[in-house]
Amino acid sequence: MGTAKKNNEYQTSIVVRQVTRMMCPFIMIFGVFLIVHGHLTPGGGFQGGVAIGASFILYALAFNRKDGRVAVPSYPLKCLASCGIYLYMAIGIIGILMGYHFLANKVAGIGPQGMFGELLSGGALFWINLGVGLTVACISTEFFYTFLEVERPENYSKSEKKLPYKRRWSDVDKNDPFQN
Amino acid sequence: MKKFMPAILFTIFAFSMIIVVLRFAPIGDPHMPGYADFVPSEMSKKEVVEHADSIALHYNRHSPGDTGALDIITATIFDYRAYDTLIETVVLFTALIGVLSIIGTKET
Repeated sequence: MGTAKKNNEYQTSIVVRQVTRMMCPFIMIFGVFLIVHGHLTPGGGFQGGVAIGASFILYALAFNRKDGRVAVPSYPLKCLASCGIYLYMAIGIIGILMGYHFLANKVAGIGPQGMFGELLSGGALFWINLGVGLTVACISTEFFYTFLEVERPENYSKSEKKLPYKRRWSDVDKNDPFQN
Repeated sequence: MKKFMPAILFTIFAFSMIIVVLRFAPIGDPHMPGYADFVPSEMSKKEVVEHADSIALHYNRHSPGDTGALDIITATIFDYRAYDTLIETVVLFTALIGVLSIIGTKET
């Protein structure tokens, strides 16, 4: 009885929920594989990041928004998205510090310089893929959850307090110095 | 006169575009401008592949040694065109900032 009541909280069927629960870790692992093997196989930071973001989006679609938001809060996502870009730029600045141009790769001797074709090779490409993957994963997830949290237009005309906007067009028109 | 102005302009632009399309080099020709700018035209196709140092052939031949990456596409977009990819990522991030500043709710 308790489980039946709990199942009624969601709008999706139990098949969708159980398959999502099984598939989400594998989608994430596939995304990490695409990112880490970016310099060896087709794929890379963008594709792997989108795959990781898709696993969180699938979770939110199968369950509900609040369950997904517990796993991916807004503030850490934004921080990690900027960290990815900082990692990219730091790799570029290391190239300058080693005495070469911005984003110098092989000549600067950065990072794992393994055998050609191994996992730990590629130098700066390895770290650049990690940074781009981190950024794209966080940004795609944050985009989806941000658009989910916007209230529908038919809802927010009833009461002014429920408006999600901090500034509204009426305020802008009132304070516009060019109006008068 | 005002009626026929769009028709005249359209004809001029259409003719110029058709002339440009007709002057295209055939696809896959190694003597095409942009593919091999400084290949002597008397070289055969096999000689071009062996000796010419155009941009595309340079990428095909030297990308493993230059970048250490097995995948040429990754070597191109993350090493030869690394600035492009950096700004592309920043553009995505800027789009997120724009969305959050317009429809973002409270800080959580």
